[in-house]
Amino acid sequence: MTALASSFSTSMARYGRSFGLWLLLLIAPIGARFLVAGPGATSSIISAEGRIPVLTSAFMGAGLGIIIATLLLPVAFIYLRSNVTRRQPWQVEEVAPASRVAIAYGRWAADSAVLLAVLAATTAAGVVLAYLMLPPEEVNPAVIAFCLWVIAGPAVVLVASLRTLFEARRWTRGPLGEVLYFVFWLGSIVVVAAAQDAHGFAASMIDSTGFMQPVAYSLGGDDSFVIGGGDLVADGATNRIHLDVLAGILSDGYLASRAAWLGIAALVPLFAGLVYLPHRPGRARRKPLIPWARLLEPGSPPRADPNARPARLAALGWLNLLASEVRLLVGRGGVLALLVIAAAGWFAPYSTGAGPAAMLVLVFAATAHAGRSEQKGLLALTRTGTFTPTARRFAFIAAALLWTLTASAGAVAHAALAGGDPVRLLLEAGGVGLVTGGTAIGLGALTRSATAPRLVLLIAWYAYLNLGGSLPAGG
Amino acid sequence: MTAILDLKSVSKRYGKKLVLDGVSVAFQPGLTLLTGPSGAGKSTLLRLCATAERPSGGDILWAGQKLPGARERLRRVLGYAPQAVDLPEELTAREFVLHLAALKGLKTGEADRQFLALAEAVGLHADANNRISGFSGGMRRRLVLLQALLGQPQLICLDEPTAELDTDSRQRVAALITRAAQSAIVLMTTHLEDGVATQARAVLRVDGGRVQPA
Repeated sequence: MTALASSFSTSMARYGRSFGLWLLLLIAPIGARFLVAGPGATSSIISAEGRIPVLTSAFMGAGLGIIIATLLLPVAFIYLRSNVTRRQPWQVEEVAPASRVAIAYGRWAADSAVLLAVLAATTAAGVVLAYLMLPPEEVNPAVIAFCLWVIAGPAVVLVASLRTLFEARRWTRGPLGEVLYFVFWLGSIVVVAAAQDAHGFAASMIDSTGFMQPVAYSLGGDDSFVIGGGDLVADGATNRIHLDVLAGILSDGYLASRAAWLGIAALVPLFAGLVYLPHRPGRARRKPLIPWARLLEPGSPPRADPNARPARLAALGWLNLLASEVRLLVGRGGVLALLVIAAAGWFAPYSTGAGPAAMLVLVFAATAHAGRSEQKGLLALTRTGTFTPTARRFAFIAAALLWTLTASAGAVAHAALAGGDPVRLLLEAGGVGLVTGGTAIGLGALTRSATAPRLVLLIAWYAYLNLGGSLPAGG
Repeated sequence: MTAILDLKSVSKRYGKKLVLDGVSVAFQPGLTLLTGPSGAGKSTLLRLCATAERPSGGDILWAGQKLPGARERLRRVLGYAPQAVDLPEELTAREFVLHLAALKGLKTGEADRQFLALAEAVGLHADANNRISGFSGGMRRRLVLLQALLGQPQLICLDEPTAELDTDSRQRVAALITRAAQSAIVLMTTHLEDGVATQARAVLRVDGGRVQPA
């Protein structure tokens, strides 16, 4: 068996034996029901000119394809990065004489196959839903499949390609990979919106997710459509708008652009294999930037004393647990960031400055710590301690809360002295800390990885950043 | 030409920390034990020999040719068992080893025959088709050793292969390593006074960045 075939077959075997794949294949068709606005629906994830689009076979396929290619794409990336194949025996693979390009292609093919299987399950659900929601003579399974796969197929394969690319380099194997994907995902949607009026191959090539042309084709340049739920006009649910998405898909240059994106996605593993950099077994620890940050370090262990008495239980065990979680969460690098953010709160509006900054730093610190502490081996160890893993998770959330409250100190002090509303600021900071800490440890425990909470919290952070300007000023 | 691994003034640095300092040593077929305190650089030396890392200075030569130029040639005849491997828990022992055999360029049928023979030798025969997730620490250690011996390599680098093993397994592994050392260069790090130690053609001590006869 070749390296490519072996990498593909072992990855597929691992996927097939994991609970996550079957859960995904189950959720996809069930979720499809909630993504489609049926005849009696009063709201819709996709709306145009404030109206729900008329449901046809073409729109059933295109609608599902658009939602997968836009809103659900981060879920695909999270799944690939945090599933069972994230752990590879690189220690022995990297000294094998096999081509890294072949290994990259084998794993990319398996990742793509899994995501395309999800598309197949969604397509089947779309056909069933069409038979339930439309007159039988209007149901065309081929059109549903065509519209869904043309839009979402290249998009999900591109996600598999990006996963392969990010696994190839040291920096992008970690948090930077999630950040880059988040930027790519957001950029791929925002950039397209700017090119709404343009048509043809070049305009479609801007749209890697492929959602624009099928919808915008039926609309004039000034007309708007919303993906992700928008306000409807008064009769927007009953007086529906007809979108000829099939005409948009078959319009000049669109299909060629989808084929081109598929081609680009297929070339990425080649590049990933060529630029592959081996893992590094370990790095020397650097000294902290500020000397007294060492206070947060556990320090050197005391000299062993064979006559020492058994350790006694701490009088304030809960406090010890909380202090330990704070120490692990903040770390050495976090102290300086925390001080800078807390000081900056005095000078800039909290909700658009120190607040989002505090959350962003916390997202990286909390997800990294959650990913580490929820590993199976460590959990087995913590189960033998005085405090249960659940107690430790609560301490983790409390530490996150302390983080955001400390980071808001400057803004709260300024608000208190300048006649602002310090209580509202404390509530906002506390809310951000609780949500960030809870999401990090919750998703970390569920996936045993930092990837899922990190990407979800980055999206939440972006929403908070945009919401910040509309929040009432606290100080 | 006899396969010889030759290190000439090899040094390895991690940041400011100099782990190996101008190491010059030639390894010939037979068993060479690398001993020394924890953190002395034994595993680093092994990783350099196994092409898992590049030296910060000096040259490594395989059969007279310098790395990295001869790296692919060396990797074709290399068996490497590091201390820790992220084993794919969902695969069976057989699937995992056959995957690595494919990466080594071995034919599936021949690799499978070798796997079964080696599994018998290390006492994993009954668990060959069981998933790795159910393996104990000792079984994992033997599985990692097994994959290193696949394909009759000429250079075998073993990082503490007998750790976590019970007496019976240790004896099986020692016998296997001794047999492999009859035709290959076997470099093995160990803290322990293993039974295999008596079979070593050389025992080297790694300490303070230097390598000296123990």
